[in-house]
Amino acid sequence: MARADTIEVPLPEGVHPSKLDLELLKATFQAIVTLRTEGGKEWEEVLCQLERDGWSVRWGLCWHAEAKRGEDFEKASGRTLDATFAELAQLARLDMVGHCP
Amino acid sequence: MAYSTKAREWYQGELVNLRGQGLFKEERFIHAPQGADIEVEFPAGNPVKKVINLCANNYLGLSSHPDVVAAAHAGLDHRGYGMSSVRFICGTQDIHRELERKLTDLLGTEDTLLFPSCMDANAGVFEAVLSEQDVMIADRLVHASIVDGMRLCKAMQDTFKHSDMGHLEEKLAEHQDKRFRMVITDGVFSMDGDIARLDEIVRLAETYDAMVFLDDSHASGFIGKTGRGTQEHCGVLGRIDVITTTLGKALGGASGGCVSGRRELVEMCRQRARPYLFSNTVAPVIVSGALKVLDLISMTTERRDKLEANAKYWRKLLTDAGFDVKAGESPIVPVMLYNAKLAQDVARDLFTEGIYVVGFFFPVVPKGQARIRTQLSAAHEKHHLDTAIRAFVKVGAKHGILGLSKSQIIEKFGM
Repeated sequence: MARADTIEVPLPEGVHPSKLDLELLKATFQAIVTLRTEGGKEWEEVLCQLERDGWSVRWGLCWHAEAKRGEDFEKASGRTLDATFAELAQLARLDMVGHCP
Repeated sequence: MAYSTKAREWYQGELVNLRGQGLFKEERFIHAPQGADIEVEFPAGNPVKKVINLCANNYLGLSSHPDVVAAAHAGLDHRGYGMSSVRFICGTQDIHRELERKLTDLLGTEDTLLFPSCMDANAGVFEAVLSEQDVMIADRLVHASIVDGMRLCKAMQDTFKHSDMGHLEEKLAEHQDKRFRMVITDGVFSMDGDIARLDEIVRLAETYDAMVFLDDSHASGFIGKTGRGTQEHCGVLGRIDVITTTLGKALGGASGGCVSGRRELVEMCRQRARPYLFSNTVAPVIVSGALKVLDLISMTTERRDKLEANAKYWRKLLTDAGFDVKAGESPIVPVMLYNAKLAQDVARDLFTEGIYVVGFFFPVVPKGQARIRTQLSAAHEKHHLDTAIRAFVKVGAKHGILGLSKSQIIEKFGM
């Protein structure tokens, strides 16, 4: 079996991750690796084209949340769960009632 | 064939579901000009029935006023039927700018831009004047068209609890890092008929460096001592940055709307608001009628005074009869029934008795807030309201709701 490349990250002194912490770190890192390596290269071409067209593009991984109720559908994204859910809640509030004409 | 059997069956199913949920909207054919007395064919194919109309936005009773109709006829003769163009190509006549100047005078602003409707004005204004560096802070009960306009704008969206000034202040403080803040409110709220606390909103906006946006569609022409709207009623004339309003309610009731306010903001709409840029100009016949409406209401306050008296009289009649009426001062007088089926049954029975009203229930209003929304007009005479209250009492007695409190109605019918 070929040896997989590994990354070692030294933890700050005094930090003692639990077994659960280590599982979470492993799962998160695996998700990032998968997203980064299994998406093909087309995105790079799209990014380059956008920049050639004069767009300044910022991108990155983030949290994503969706809410659905009947016909109403809202989705939000953010760098933190708090920011993501705050935006989702705000969008959902706009669906609160249908309003009188 | 692109419209497959699968697609047809899916849409048919959705329409059946709407009927099942009681949300299917059926048009009623009116065989008369708009007014206090109208002739309605409902359900379709039934004989025409004469009814008293208590659900139009014809607040000043000008929708079929002979002077307005005559002015529209003259406009048709002198300026033609259509312009076949958007405004900025070859769709602006002298009368369009004249109407914009007169609306500016009425609303106490710096400039005005006509839109095909106030729905279009609200859909276009936010995107035209705000961007991702800014925040919109809206009352949670603003009109649906404002919600749509906010969704089309890249600025951050936020809301404050309905008419809760403490909550608005929290939000304004929270968003001090943004470039521009805009507080967004209706003048008169269409569901409850209550009036925005615009004086307090303006004070907070000035304290926290925010612009104020006001949709005065249910107020322009009759709220305030001389009918100049909520800003007059609340003593803040000239201090509102953006006002949108409609020509489709009190101001003749045909169609058309506008954005009025600070000169630069109106000009930004002229340059960037997509519903203005990509919709046809307001037809000359409507502009001519609206000019006459503004002439009529600038000559006398007789009509808005009569409307105010009618609303006061109608509220007293309903309250004395034992109905649960939302408190307020506007000509929107909601009769609270709380239960959706009860609201539909009462509206149907009132129609049988010759009174045209509509029941509103979720999702148009929040769950458990079903009601009959009655709307007064200066076209109503005392005899209309006396006849209407007799029908309301008869129907109210039939359903056993007279004199019942909110909790008693809910206990009896559920929410």
